[in-house]
Amino acid sequence: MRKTFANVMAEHAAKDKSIYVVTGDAGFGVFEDYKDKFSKQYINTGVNEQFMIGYSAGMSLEGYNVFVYNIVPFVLYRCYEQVRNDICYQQLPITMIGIACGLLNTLSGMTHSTPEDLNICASLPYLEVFSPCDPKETEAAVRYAVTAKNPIYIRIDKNGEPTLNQNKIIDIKKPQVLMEGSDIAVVFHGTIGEEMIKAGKLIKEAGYSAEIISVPYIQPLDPEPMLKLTKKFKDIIVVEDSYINGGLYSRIAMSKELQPYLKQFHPRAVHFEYFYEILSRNSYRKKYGSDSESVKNLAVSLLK
Amino acid sequence: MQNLQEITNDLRKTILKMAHRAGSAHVGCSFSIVDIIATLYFEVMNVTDGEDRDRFILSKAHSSMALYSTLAKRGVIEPKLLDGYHVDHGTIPGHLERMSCKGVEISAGSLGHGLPMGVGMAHGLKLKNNDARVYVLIGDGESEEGSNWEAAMMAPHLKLDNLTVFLDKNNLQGYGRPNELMAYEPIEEKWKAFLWDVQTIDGHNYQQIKDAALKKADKPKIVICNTIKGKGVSFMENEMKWHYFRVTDDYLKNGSEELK
Repeated sequence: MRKTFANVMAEHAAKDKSIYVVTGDAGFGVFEDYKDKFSKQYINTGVNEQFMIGYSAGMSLEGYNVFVYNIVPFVLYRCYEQVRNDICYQQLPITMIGIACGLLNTLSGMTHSTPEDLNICASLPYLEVFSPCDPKETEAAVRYAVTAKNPIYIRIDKNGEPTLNQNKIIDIKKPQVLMEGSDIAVVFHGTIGEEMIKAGKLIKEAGYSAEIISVPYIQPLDPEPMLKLTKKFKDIIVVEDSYINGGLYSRIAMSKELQPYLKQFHPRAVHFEYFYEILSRNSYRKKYGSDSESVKNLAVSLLK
Repeated sequence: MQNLQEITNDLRKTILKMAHRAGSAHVGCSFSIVDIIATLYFEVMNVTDGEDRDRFILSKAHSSMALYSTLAKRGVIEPKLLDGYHVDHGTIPGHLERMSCKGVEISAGSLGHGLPMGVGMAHGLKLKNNDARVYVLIGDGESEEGSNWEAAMMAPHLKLDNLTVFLDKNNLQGYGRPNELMAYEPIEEKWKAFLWDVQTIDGHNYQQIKDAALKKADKPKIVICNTIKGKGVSFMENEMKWHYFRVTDDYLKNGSEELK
């Protein structure tokens, strides 16, 4: 997904001199080609997240189409007030790319784990949030961001992710059906996509048919597609590598249009706690019941 | 045109009236920077609507009355806009919101935000080959924010000779004096160590302010302005309480008489 971002940036930078990439000492193996070709449209500000965001706001005020790239804690957490005041409050069309989102870095410790990034986004009006599940959705989200007029946050994994969305993406702001099904729906966003494709296959092996749906556009959440799902499916499992009180499920629960149907939604998300056990992403998913086997078991129990 | 003494006297009277009407604080810290802002707007900056305008950033935005009143006096905004300062259903807030007021380049209020944005603007202007300058006014209490020093380290690296910072050194912050709270001094040496062109002046001397602003340098400049909080009204001068005190009827009457 990281290389996808850099490639799209290079494509647009070649024809639009206002494209400007800012990184805060991140991007090894990602930006080498880009910065060689577009040295005047790139800066590494160093390790200074408050400055990195403030500087980006200043560049944006001068008309540059700024894309800020860093791991999630350094693009949203350390510099939260700059994101709030300098970008979102000023309604600047800056795109923040947060890499290694969710549970990717649990083995590195809690400081580099980010189950709360969507909680933070929920506190930022005007911010549009994408959580693509693969390089194809990432590309579509970045292309949307190039022409968007709002602040944008795109949370992505790291590198080497397979393409899961085999459809032609017409509108990246709409849910994407990755596997069609008729008995139950599994909606998810972002990094847990590969695991949900596995869950779909396991549900099929168990004799049922699950529709597996990626929701790459998290904020503001459009309730209409979810409403349609409530008509089509009795049960909808919501799976995510995010805190249960800040991610997709919480946005569904906060939607007045969806609240009457909330009993149909079954969340499998990260519990609201810090991580002290030294566990991989998959082990944490097993702990929280969001791995493919657990989702299959939940689906089967709901369908019996 | 009025001379700067008359202009700044009028500005202080306007600020007193604004604070009295609004029941707002931050009179003392507005008075300490009035002479700097007025000199910049009347004697130094290219004040236009266009891309070639010089950019002024008031980072210590709690002193917004000094900027609002100057913008009105300079003809950038209608004086009537000041009537809606910091009041219910008003026009302009206590801290700065750029979309509410023409001439306000950035929204600000939390300290330590203006200089990083100013560095971004100055660099953006350089890359566009735009000769406009960026002026950022920060406070001495504000200088305790780490984000300023992040920006301070970057500006010389980017060779931003189009950036000038004015430091309002009134030696009083919200609840103490900078050098009593931390090892604030020697502040000149700190900026020199960060490779800035450093000047120290009397921040109430118009000629010194103008000369410092116009001085040529091949790197970013900082002008350390020795100022007096509450400057211009004797019972406000060098008094920490005038960071917070409201302008009552009596204060308005007595202060205005001193400014006649």
